[in-house]
Amino acid sequence: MLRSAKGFGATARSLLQQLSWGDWVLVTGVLALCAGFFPWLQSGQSGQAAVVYLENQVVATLPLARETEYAVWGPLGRTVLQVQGGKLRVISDPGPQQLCVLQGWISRQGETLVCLPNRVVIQIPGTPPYDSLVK
Amino acid sequence: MTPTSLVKSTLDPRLSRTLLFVMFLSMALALHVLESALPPPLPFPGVKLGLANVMTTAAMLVLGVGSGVALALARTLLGSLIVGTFLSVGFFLSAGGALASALVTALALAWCRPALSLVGVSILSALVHNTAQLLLAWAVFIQQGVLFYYLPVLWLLALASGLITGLILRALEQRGTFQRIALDAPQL
Amino acid sequence: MRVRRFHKLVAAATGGVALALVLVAWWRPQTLERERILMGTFVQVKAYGGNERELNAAVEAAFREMQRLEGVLRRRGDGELGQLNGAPAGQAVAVSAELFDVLQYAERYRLLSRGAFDVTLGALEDLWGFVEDWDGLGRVPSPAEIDAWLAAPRGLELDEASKRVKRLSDATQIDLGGIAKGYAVDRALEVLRAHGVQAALVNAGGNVRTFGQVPEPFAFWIRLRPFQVAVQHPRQASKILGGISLEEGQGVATSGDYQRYFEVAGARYHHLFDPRTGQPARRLTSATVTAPTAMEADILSTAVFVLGMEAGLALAEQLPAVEAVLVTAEGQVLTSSGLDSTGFSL
Repeated sequence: MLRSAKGFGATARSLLQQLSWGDWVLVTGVLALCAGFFPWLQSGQSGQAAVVYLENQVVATLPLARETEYAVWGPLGRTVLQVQGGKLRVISDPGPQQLCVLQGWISRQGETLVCLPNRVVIQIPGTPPYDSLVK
Repeated sequence: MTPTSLVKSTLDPRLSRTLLFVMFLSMALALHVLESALPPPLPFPGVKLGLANVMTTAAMLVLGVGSGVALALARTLLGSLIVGTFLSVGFFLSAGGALASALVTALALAWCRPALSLVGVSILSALVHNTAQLLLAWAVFIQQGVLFYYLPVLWLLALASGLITGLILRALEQRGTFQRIALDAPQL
Repeated sequence: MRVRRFHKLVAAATGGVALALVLVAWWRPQTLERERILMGTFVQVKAYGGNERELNAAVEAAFREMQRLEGVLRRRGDGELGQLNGAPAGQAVAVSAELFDVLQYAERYRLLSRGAFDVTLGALEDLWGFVEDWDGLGRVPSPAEIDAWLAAPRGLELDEASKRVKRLSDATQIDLGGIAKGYAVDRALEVLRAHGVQAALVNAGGNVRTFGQVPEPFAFWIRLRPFQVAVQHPRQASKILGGISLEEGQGVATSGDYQRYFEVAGARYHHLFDPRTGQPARRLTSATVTAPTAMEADILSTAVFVLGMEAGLALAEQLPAVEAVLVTAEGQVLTSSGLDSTGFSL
């Protein structure tokens, strides 16, 4: 067992030299695409508001500055959102896997919570929902 | 240790192919069940990391392209029966990813060698698997561009898993493992 | 493994393409955002495109233009309007083409709104304490004072040919509060456009107009999208009444009873007067209007506010390319018929 492990290690080190040119093209391409994507995502700014979608329609815009609880009625039942301390999370959701509850808090622009079974999507827009406010 | 000489000399080729197929299938199923227990890379039911695809690639190398695709189908079906997601929406997502990945792997093995080594093929297969799952999730569930925010993360994951599985496969290839256990495999 | 030259070439090409892709993705169009207190209110300018120096020059020029207009259109002082207001009644005073056009425009809308929009309310505003440099306090005039003001004849005579304006009486004091900001926004945008700015938004105290579309990073490239403007709720400051996606060159303005007011004995008195009663108009809490220019939107938001629910909506329906959102004193929200097509969403 140990002998084959040591042999494996030696093989692994020389392996990188064994990668074809096509492999490098592929890896470079993928890394470049990822790098190209990042500025789009990592605006890094904290969001001002979260937009709540039900069945792809906007049902509410919740400012993150105001602490509140909000319930969305989807086909399966109530999805309850909580806004606290500038962040948002899903407290309860009728879906079987509770994926959106497990994801925890979102607060930055571009972050999203998806409660798929109940058709609820909560997104903090990458840019503020509006450019100017008419008072 | 593979019973090469034994298999070659005493068994009917079709039986040995079937045995190898079942061996790959059981390993793929084990990986499938393991993947189902891990946290999903996307918050949708059925989305998987794509580890089981390594078995599909290995099967293609040993038994041929057709067997590889058949393996992908078989492990998705049986895997969903074991985990309990058969015919659920998540099943289609996972199946779609596995199938797309198998098809592209077959094409890559047939056309892109030696430009792509096994490492590249693995990476490509993992990329296609993840991207196909995202596209299916977009088409079936949420038609919002937000979903594509996940792409870089998915691709980096695919790069990492593809690299690891690819290096393993390459190491095996170098030591002649596939040649030894391939019986009627077409020349790749 | 032999690395043939061809393969090296492909690898280099891929590297080059990858680098180009990353550079394109990380490039961001220049944007500039500046704010200033002008014309007694908060002015916000957003400009996109070009390089930083050009944008800077453009925005500064826009602010200078607004400052110039502030001087011209001030009710008192040595500005053009101030001198007109100070000249003896009955005297035909020569004014600049610019001021004449503004006054002519105002007069046209006075007739169109059947007197609801009136720029000659300066003396009335003084009675209520809404002086030019308003300090937040006011007074409630006695009914006799109001009646006296109502009884006094008011009016302007405009001579197109000679560009002369005659104030028909001493009680006629021109206050362009309901039109100056809108006009300034229009002018500021013209200046920005002349400086080569690709897209811009100007918001002067609730009067907004834009041109061009906002360049927004999307995946690897830039996507253009229309400007989005949110309208504040008249009673709940942290809430939004609705949002509007502005079309090219479209202006939007809101007039509300929460913008300038004082309270005496628990009652609120605001600055949007009904010229026919001499009192603050009470029928609505806010009126938001979209129109082809900021000046028109400014005028109409005041007119619709004063006119109230029925007459205000009727005016909006009557005018093409003009839509309105009204909020009544009870909190009911009414919209004109074409509103959905303009992209307003409550």
